[in-house]
Amino acid sequence: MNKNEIVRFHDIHKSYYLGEVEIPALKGISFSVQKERFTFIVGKSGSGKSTLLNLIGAIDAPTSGEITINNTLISSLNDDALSDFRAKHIGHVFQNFNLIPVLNVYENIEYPLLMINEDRTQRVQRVTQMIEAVGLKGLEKHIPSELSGGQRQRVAIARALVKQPSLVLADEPTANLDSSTSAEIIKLMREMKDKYKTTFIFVTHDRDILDVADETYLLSDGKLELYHDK
Amino acid sequence: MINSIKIAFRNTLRNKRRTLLSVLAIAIGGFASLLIGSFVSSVNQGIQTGVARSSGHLHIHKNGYFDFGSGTVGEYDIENYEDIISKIKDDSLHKYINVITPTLSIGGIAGNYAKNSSQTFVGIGLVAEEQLKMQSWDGYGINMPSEENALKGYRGGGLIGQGLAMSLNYCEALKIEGCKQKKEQINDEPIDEDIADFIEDEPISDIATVTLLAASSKGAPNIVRIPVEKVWKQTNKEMDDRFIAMPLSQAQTLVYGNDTKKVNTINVQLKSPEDINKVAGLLEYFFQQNGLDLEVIELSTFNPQIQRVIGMFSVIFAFVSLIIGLIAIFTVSNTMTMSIMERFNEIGTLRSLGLRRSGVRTYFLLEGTIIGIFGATMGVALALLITYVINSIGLMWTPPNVSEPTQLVFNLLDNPALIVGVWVSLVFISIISSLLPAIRASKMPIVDALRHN
Repeated sequence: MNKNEIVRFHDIHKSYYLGEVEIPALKGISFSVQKERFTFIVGKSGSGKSTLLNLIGAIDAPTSGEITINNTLISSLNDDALSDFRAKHIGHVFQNFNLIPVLNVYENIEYPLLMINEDRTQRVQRVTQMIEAVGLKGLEKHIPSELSGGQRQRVAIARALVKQPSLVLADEPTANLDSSTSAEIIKLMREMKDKYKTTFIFVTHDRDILDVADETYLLSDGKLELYHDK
Repeated sequence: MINSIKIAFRNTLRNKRRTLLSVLAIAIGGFASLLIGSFVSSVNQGIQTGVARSSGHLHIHKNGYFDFGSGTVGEYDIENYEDIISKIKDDSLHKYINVITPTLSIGGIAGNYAKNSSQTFVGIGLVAEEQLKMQSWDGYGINMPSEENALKGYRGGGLIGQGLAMSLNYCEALKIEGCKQKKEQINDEPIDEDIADFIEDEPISDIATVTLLAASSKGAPNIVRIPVEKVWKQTNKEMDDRFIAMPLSQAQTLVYGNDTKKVNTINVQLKSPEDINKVAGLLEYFFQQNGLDLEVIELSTFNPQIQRVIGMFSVIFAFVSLIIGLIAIFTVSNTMTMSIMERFNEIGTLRSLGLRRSGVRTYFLLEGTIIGIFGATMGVALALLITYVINSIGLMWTPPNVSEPTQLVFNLLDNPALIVGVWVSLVFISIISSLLPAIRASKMPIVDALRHN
């Protein structure tokens, strides 16, 4: 893995089983993602995009092959070490926002910092900065059910970035948003990438947002190919 | 950890109705356990108080009396009992003793020959003032009314069980309320000569008298006639049908005539029931030091009925507690399982944010703990309130081994060990009930958890 790479897949296979029937989702994928890039993975529904993103996010394991993230061979880590790795290096943005419903905006954004035992002063400083950066000032005490879809996704972005991870993974982040809010969110993510020098990997089928991508991969029939590179 | 508690607490409030049902199930369980537990404790204390008042906590006998001597006359009696009592009173162990008093148990035939009635009797010779003091003992502070009426204003006559009084046709003479008059028997057979002589020697007066025939210490029959003063109803019907109490001197005259007066039991009533074992040990040491051939029998040995009754109530308590525990386990486990099923996606999110499996377990165990703490605390509060109300109302009942109705009292506040025990057990049950669902939640694959919405 060269020093500019943050993700490297080597001959990754992933299969699911329906009873004894093997259903291959990924067939020998090898690729890498450079640091600080805005990378998109596109493909038809059921093509295995989310499976690929789950493998990058270390929340699923390949059937075979090696995955290296941030110079760490993640298949060599046990469950606790994988949890710690995710807590420190990876931010997630979900299609359905996946905010913790019993926590307010401030507490949701603060949560990842508690995972890495950040001290209180640092937590307050970073969360406050992030709330301002995503434009949620004044909504700190609101719980997720009191927010609009766009506001919720802003909270999710702030939560993903607050620990300043090297990699943020976004699974269909605009799927539940209207087109103008989608554009705002993508613009915000782009700004965050530039500000925090973070690598973003998106999975989407929203062709309207592809023009902001640094590179785009197409996943089809379990194979990945570079579709577009700026 | 504070953050985990905060999240767990807020999660318990997400489905308020379900949480409330679990809390109520635990609270009602705790309330029932405490009510039964304090009732058992009250029964236990009531029985022990009753026995301690009538017989004391310890019995001193001549060695071998307890095993072989209760049916014999003279063989196992204690000589110089007044000296022994005096020495004990001078010893440092007397500070533990409330009353020490001699008694003499006798048996024979009681007759009311004016009414042609006779019946076997079991009698006791006692020192009335000391027995009266024993009757006022309240070492557990339960304010149980004492059965001291029979001994109050005692003038030295015979105190007779109601059953025996009826058998001997004393209903009218003693003006016994609700007394069933026995048909007078016409007996044409001549009375034994000795008894006939005795009856002729002692002309029948207006005062009711009973003639007692018993074997003396020398084996010959002896007879005394004593006035019957009043009825002393006994708890046990079998005892009530045969019981006579009389002054110690009277009983001694019946057994020893003009010989040296002895007793077969020295009853010891302690100030505190907690000192039974200690004082028993001290008395045994005292007898060794003074070369006395005496034995000490503890309350639980001379009255094994106590252990059986307490054992029975304890089994009932354990059985009810078991059922309550199972209901609590089922309810909390069901609540936690439902809660987890509704939060698969949240579990997946937390895990993808970096929460370890142990962290997921902690969340759900904390939720179970919070439910347990609220339920157990509510149960204790409810039990304290209800027992206070019941104690204030003054409901009456007749406990085992007590002849008179007494107030139903739940001594919950005097039993902090029971409160703490039930509270801790319920919280523990709640935690245990959450454990299995929590382990299942923590083992769920993250990807599968995230698929649920």
